[in-house]
Amino acid sequence: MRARPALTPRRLWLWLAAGAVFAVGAAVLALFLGMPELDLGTALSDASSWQYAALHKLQLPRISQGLVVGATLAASGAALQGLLRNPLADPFILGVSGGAALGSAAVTLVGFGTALVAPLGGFLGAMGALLVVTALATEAGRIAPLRMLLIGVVFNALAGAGLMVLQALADPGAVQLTLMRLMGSVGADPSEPLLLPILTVASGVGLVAMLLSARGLNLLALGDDTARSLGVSPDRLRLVLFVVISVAVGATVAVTGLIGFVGLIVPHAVRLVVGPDHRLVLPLSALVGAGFVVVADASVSALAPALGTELPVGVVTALVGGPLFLALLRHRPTRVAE
Amino acid sequence: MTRVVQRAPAPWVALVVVAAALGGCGRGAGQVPAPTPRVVSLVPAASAIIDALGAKAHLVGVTRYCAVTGPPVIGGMDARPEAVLAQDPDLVVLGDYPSQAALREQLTALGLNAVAPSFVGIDDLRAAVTRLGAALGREAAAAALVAALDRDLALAKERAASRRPVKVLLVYDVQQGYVYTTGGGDHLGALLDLCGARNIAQGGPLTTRLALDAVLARGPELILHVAPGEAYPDDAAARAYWKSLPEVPAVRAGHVYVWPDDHLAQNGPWIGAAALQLSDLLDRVAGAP
Amino acid sequence: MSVGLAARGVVFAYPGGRPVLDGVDLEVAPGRVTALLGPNGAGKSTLFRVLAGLLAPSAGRVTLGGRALGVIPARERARQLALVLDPPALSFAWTAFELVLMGRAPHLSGGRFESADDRAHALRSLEAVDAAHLADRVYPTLSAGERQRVLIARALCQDTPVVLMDEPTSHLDPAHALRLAGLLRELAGQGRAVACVLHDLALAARTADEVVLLSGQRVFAAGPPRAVLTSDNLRAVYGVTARWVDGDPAALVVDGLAPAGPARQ
Repeated sequence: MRARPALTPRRLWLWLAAGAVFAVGAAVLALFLGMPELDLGTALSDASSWQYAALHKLQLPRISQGLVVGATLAASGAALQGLLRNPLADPFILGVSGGAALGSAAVTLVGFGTALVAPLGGFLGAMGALLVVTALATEAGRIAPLRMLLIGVVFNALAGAGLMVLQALADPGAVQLTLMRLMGSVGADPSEPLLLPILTVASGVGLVAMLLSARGLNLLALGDDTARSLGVSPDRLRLVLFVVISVAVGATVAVTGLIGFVGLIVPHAVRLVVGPDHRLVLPLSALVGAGFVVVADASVSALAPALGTELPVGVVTALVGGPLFLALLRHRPTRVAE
Repeated sequence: MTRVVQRAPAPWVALVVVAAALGGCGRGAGQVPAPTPRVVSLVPAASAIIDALGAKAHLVGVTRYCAVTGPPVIGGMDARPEAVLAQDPDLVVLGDYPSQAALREQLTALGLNAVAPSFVGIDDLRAAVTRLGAALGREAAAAALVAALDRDLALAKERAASRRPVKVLLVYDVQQGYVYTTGGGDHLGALLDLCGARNIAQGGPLTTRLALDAVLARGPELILHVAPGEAYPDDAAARAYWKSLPEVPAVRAGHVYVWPDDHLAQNGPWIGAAALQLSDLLDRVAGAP
Repeated sequence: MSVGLAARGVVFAYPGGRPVLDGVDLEVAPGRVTALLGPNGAGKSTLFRVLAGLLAPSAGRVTLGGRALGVIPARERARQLALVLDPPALSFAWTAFELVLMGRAPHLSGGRFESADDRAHALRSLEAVDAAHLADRVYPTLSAGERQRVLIARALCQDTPVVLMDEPTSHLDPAHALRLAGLLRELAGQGRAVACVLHDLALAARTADEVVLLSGQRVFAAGPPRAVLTSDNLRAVYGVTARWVDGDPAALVVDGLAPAGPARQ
C-alpha cells in the first residue's frame, strides 16, 4: 500500500542481509581482483609458501582494514549528516581531518619517524581538533550545529595553513611521503600488528554507539525542540556521538589518511534507495561503505600492473565518488536534499 | 658497509677553512673574497660536483641539503630570490625540476645567469660535470672526473657479466604497508641495470608505490634502503621492520641493508664509486645460496 | 487521562536580560481548550516553551499532573505532553507517514519497532487532519499548510493527555483552520488538556474554553472568552476595536485599529 513500506524488523533484516552479501561479495572480489597472481590453493594449504604469507599477513588484513574503514566512514557520515541536519556533512568536517593531518605531519616532518608515531600523532591531532571545535561551538551547554560546522571548516583551513608551514620547513622527500600518507591508503603493515585491532575496537565502539542512537537521530530530524519533546536530549546525543565518531574517524585517518567521498556519497546513495530512517541507513551505510572501499582498494591493486604503481585509494574513491554523486543528484533531485 | 667515496681534500681547502674561521661565518670583513665566477648552487649534486672539481671556493651559496661544508647556506631547494641575489653570483645552478622552474624564471628576470641542467640519469651527470667544469674553467678536472666515473661504471658492468641477475627492491621509505621506490627511470634504475640487477618495480613512475603483497609476489633477493632515514637509520632498524615478512627471500637470507649515506640517492660525482660498492653487495647476494 | 499543566508564579529571563515573563499563573486543565493570546513580544512563545519544558523557569514552577515538570524523566514527559511547533525545514526525504509515526517513539521501549497498531494509529492521526492522502508524500515537497497538518498529526500520534500547539493555524487555509478548531474541541472532549498560542482572536473566541491574555510579561486577564476578550481588554492590549456579535455566543469581530493605539505598561 505504501510507496515506501514502513520499516519493520523483517524489512530491516532483509536489507541488512543484502548489504552483508554485498560487503562479503566485495571482499571476495577484492581478493581476486587485488592479487591475481595469488594461487588460493597454495595460499591456503602451504604455510611455508609466500602465497600463504601474502594471503594471511597482507591480503586478509588489508581487506579487513578496508571493510572497517569503509564501514566507519560511511556510518559516521550518515550519523553526522543526521546530527547536524546537514546533507553535506562528512566525517572530516568537524576539524578531524585537519587535526589528524596536522598531527601526523607534525610528528613525521619534525622527525620522530617510527612507523607507529605517525598514526599516534594523527589520532592526537584529531582528538585535539574535536576538543577545540566542540568547545568553541558550545554555548550555554548547547551545541549549535551550524556553528559547529562553520568552526570545523575554519579549523580545517587553519590546519591546512599549519600543514603548509610544516611542509615549507621540511625536507622535500618527507613532504612527498606525508602527502601520500594523507591521500588515503588501505594497506596492511605486518610490522604493526596492533594497528588493525586498535582501529577495529575504536570503530566498533563508534558503530555500536551510532546504532544505539539511531532512533534519537530520526527524532532529531524534526528539530531540536520537537526531539526534546519526544524524550531525546539533542545536546547529549551530539556530544556522545561527536566523541565516539571522532575517536573512530580519528583512528581511521591516523591509520589510512583521508579517504574522501565515502562518508558523503554512501549515506546519500543508501537514503535514495531505502529512505532516511537511521535504523536502516546507519547499518546499511556501514555495509555498503565497507564493500565500496574494499573494491576501490582492490581496483588500485588491479590497476598497478598498468600504471606501474599503486594509486592511493582516496584518489579512486574521489574519482568514482564525485561523478557518481553528481549523477545521483541529477537522477532524483528532490529526494536527496532540499 | 663502509663509506666508499674517499675524496682527498685539496690543500687549498684548509686555507679556505682557516680563512673562514678567521673571518667568522658571515661575509665578514676579513673573509677572503670568492674567486669569480661566484656560484650559487641550489642542487646538492651540483654542489658536490663543484666540490669534486676542486672549485668549492667558487661556491657563495648552497642549500641546507648540500653536503659541502664551508659555503653559506641560503635556504632550501626553494631559496628566496633575494637570498640568491644577495650573494651577487655570476652563475646560479638549479635542477631541471618543475619545483625549481618558477625560481629559475625569477632569477633570470633579475638578470642572473641561471642554468638548470637535468640530474635524472647518468648521462645527465656526465653532461653536468662537463658543463660545470667549463663554466668554472676546470675542463681538465671535469674530464678526469668523467673518465673516473666511466672507468668505475665499466668495471661494475664487467663484474655484472659474471654474476647472475639479482632481484632488488630499492626503498625510499615504507609506510602504511606500501614501499616507495624507484620505477627505474632515474640514475638508480640505470645503476641497477648497469650492475646486472633487476629492479622489481621497473617500469613504474619515478616514485613508485608498491604494496607489500606485490613485494612478496615479486620476491626480491636484496632490499636496499637507498639512504638512511628517520625511521630506518641503519641496517638493524630496517631488518627490524622487514623481519615480519620472512617469506621475502631478501629477508630470509638477511640481505636487508641501509646505504650508509645519501651517495646512492643523490646523482652526484660519487656514483661511480657507489656502483662498485653496489657490485660488492650484489656479489654477496648472488653468492649466497 | 485527567492530567493538567499548571504554572505558578513563573518568572523567566534569558541570561543577563530583563524578565520576559514576570510572575505568570495559569492552568491548562483537562477537558478544556486553553488559548494563549497576546500581542507580539508579550511573552507568549517564551511562556509556551516554559510550559513545554523546553525552558526552565528562573523562578516559580510548572507542574504536569501535579509533579514538577523539571523532574519528570524526558521519556515519561513525552508520553504525557505533545508539542506542535512551527514546521521546520527537513534535510532528508522523510515521508509524511514516517514523520507521523515518530510520535510513537516515547511509547516504544528499547529498540522495539512500531507495531501494526502504531502504524494504524499514525494513519488515523493523518486522517484527523485531513492529510491521509499525503502519507506517502515526501516532506520537502509539501506546502507549508500541508507540513503543518502533518506535524499536528505527529503530535496526535503521540497520544498524550496534554497537547500544546504554537500557532497551529498559521499556515492553514480557512477551511482547515476551522477543521482544526473542531479537532481541538474533540481532543478536549476526550479529556485532554489542550493549549494553543493563537493570533486569530475570532478563532480563539469560537474554540477556547479558557483564554489567557498576556501583556507586558504578565497575565492581563484569564477566564472564559466572553469575560476576557472584552472590547476594553482588546483595546488595552492590542489597540484594536472588537465586538461580540449579538445572537451568536462565540462570534467575535475585530473591526480595526483603535484610535489611540495600544496602552503600554
